[in-house]
Amino acid sequence: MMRFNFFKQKSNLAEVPVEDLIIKYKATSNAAIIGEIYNRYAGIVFGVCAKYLKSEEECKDVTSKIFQDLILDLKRYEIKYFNGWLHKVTINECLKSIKKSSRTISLIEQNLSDLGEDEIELESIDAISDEEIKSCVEKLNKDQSRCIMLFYIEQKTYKEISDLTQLTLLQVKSCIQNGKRNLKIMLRKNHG
Amino acid sequence: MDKPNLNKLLVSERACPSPTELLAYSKNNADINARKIELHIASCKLCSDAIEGFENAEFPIKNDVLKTRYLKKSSGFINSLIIATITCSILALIYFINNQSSIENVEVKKESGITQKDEIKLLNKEIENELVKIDSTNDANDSTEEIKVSIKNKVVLNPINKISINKISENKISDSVITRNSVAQKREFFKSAFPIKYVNELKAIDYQHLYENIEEKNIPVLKSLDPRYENLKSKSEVTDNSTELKLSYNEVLATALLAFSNGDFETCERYFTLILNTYPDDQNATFYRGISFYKQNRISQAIPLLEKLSQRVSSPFMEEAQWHLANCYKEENRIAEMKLILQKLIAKNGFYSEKAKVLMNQF
Repeated sequence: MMRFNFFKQKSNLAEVPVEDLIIKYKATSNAAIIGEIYNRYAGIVFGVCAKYLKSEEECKDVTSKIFQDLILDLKRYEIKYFNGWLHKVTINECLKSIKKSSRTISLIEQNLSDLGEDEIELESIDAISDEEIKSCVEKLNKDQSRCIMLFYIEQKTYKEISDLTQLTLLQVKSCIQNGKRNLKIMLRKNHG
Repeated sequence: MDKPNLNKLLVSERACPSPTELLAYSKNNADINARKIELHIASCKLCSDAIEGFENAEFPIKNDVLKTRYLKKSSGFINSLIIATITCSILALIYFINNQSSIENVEVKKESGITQKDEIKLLNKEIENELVKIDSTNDANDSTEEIKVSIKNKVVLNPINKISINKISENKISDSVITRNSVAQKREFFKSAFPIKYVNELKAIDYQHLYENIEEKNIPVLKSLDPRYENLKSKSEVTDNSTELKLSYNEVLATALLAFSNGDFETCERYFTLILNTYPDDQNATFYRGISFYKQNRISQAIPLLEKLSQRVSSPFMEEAQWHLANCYKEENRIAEMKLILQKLIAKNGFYSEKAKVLMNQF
């Protein structure tokens, strides 16, 4: 009965940010916390697996393994940004699974090449002026700059931006993600 | 430019939408707030990749699949588990049918006060006697010699002892005949399958023959987070030297036992935990970790570890574990359990028998 409750347990944990849950788990080893993290992220991890793996069963196995390892990993590692960390762990596990089944890995290797740059936090956002942000956005490449402006200033959706710019949805997404990251890198350089 | 919108540019949205929301977005479901999802995926690669996965999966993904209860181990794993369970059940049934008569004998013995555990003890005693005999014989005598071990009933032994299990029918007594060509082989035959070595003058099982990869540096001794999993400032740092350090089993064991000898229980506990993470049944780590807990007066943590070893008939640490377990029970004021263990130690007439008698007399 306890195993079922482990996954079903709905509690006040539902509103707690995941980073706080991890701190709490490290201190208490409470299984309900792992259950909550599982409930929040298992489906998302499964989706990431579906991007790289061929079969549903394989995706389930990898998802299951990631969350089994998580029980120890959460205690073993100092995880600052859980989403970014989980993303990289998931891709690595997918890669391992592909290697095991001896399939080609060129696609995965390509995607692994940009690991580690997606979570850049700026400590003092208030110290950055609008003009500075604007000038940095203009320094981005043309597509990135345009997509960023349309998305954040004009508040367009990806679909609308795609229609306006003739870029594919995937390109729009990529331009916004990369543009945002490049912008942060630029601002961080300016502010030490 | 509007300041709040610019802030959104710089702040990452932490809380991920639910998987069902992401799936609905990937299917262009009109009920979903696309703007909210897109603001999130602009800074969350995890969800961004999940949406790509939902969009491009080579198999259909429905909402049901995303419910966490369906994401446990795949049916392949469950099938293997079911097959293993059925196989075990069949083997158990065959075992039961083949040995019914001996079970009846055990029942008779139980009535007369002799339990199966007693039988095992008797057998162990016989083995010890044989070992003494073998020790006293000349090693050069390589002639074939038969050693007969009479076992008066079926005894379930740990297979590691390599003693063939006798099959006894009705009240007849049969002998298991064990033939070996040299004294060394006989010793090997009778001795526990765990060879002993000494590290920093501390007894330890030499797992050389059991752990195939004992020399391989496969135990991670992490100093900090592996950079590949950390969100670093620049790409160059990702490819720099990893801070992950791996050591072989023997290296970790030697470090842990050295720390144990020096009374640095905190360090030794950390290293033994690393061993147990890789080899959960490792007796060296289990025993010394238990003792280190005991020495730190963390009795409740010591007890489960020592209990585990004190029940392993084939373990070279069994007696030591029992003695320390008795002391733990004493500390916890669990006198009845302590007495039970002490009785066992006294009955063995081994190294701890005298100490056990003294402790027993105090109660």
